[in-house]
Amino acid sequence: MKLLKIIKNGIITENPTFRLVLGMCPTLAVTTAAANGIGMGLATAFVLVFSNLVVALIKDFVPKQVRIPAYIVVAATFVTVVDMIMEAYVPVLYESLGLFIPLIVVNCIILGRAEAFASKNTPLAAIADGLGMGLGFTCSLTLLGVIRELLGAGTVFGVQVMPQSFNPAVIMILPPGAFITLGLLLGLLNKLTAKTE
Amino acid sequence: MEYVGKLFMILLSTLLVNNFVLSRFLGICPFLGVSKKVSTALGMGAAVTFVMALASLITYIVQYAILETLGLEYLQTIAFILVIAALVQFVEMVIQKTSPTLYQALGVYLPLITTNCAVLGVAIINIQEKYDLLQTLINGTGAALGFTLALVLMAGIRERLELSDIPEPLKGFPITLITAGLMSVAFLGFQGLIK
Amino acid sequence: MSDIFKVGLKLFIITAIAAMILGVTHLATQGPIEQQRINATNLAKQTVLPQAEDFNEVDIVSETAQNDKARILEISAGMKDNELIGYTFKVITNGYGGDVEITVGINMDGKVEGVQIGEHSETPGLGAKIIEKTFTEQYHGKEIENPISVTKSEPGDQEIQAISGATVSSHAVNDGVNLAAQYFLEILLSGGGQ
Repeated sequence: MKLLKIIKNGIITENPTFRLVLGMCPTLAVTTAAANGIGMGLATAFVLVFSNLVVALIKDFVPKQVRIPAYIVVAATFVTVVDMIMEAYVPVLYESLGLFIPLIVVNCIILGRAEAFASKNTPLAAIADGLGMGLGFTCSLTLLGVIRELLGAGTVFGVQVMPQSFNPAVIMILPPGAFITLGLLLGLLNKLTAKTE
Repeated sequence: MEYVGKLFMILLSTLLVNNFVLSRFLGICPFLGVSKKVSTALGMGAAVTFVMALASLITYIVQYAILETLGLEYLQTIAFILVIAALVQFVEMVIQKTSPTLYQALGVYLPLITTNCAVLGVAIINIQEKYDLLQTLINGTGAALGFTLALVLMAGIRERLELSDIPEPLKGFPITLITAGLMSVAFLGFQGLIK
Repeated sequence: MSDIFKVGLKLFIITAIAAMILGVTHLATQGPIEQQRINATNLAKQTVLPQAEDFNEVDIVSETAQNDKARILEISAGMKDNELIGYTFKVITNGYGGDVEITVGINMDGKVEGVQIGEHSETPGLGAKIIEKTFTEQYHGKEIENPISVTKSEPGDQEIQAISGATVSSHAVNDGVNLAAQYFLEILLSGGGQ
């Protein structure tokens, strides 16, 4: 089914973090804990799906010259909706993600997909793409979060996994840890995919 | 006198202690994308500084004169990003008219300043920290200068890296990220500079 | 000319619809958001003064409420069965990375009942450990007649042990507790607050 292929594309073939290298700011900033990674990923997915849908629906109404500002307004609307919902119902996650919730609007994935895909496809395909990209983003954020939390605090999702004798490498949850972990992961991925070519 | 001291603290903080790129993770996309040559890095840095300083000023006015007066604070994200988008359009037109060479050099990266999280980020931070007008301007400019600093430093390193022998899988983004990590460690040393 | 007008109009329509959606969402979530804020404050007070059932805010009447290291933001009287059993203090102190928000509960026996850390920007893994129970529990039951001090070795009766590698953060919390204690002794115990 064509829709399934689109979804799979977003998760693997064109994974926004590891293949398209988009949305770096939140990726590095919020992955200090696996829970934050999932939270941010899902919030972004929500915005992606609805933003893609609306853009696909109004693509004929929007004049070409102002399409970027128009897409921005659409994205910003859903970001604000997600922001309000999170503040009302998941305050702890809302506090952890902080500044990066409103910053979802400038996550290059959102505008990137609106321009590259949603504005040129059917609403249904746009939803699939939003879902795929969103899930792909969530997976990579969670992966990064799990690694950093495990090595930097000894826990995964707040559950102590490492033995008591394990002295956590605090640097993993500080900025340098983010950069280096992502860099090494990307390098590893390059090496693995190069072999299969 | 104490007020001036506080202003200086804000500047020092955004430049070194809480460097926007290396500590706060704002502005990573252009940081990774435009840092190949020192000259382009400087050009981008200059453009971003201009936009961020102006954006800080205008969003400050919008927040206090419009949003808060009408009780529409929840429209902050939309309002701010529209201000920034318009500002970048404007800066693009100005650069195109005054320096076509710079316009050519920056190419597609100019409109991308709109999605630079550092610009929207600093605007929101200015409001969160409840800075007054002067503090807002210093914070906005300082943050941009910090961004430029990180960008130019990275460009300098990358220019040298071009000549070294890097393992194939690490070429490109991986080695850049690792380099950024090491730079970030260095900047960690500035913590505690400000009490 | 009419072209620009049409383009502008369409953009305006999109923005207007967006603003309306947001207005509706805002109205819908306003209640729950406010409730979350109230819950958070109450939770802190309840944690540091567990026996209390009601909290009534008390006016801050003296300059003793702040010194160069900390300042008290809010004081509440903890009541149980209409009896005053203690006070909770919300204090802000200077930490390593910025302001640290502390809630302190002191009972009428002159002992600290609890300390809870709120918002802070301390370093994760180091100063941020002040939020852990193993650190804040040290204050439970401490007498406040004399100021509490911070030590790196085995703590005595009027001492608490600093977090290794996070002396500044540990001191920040301590300064906050001592300020609350000082206000309690000077003002509240002598009946200066109602």
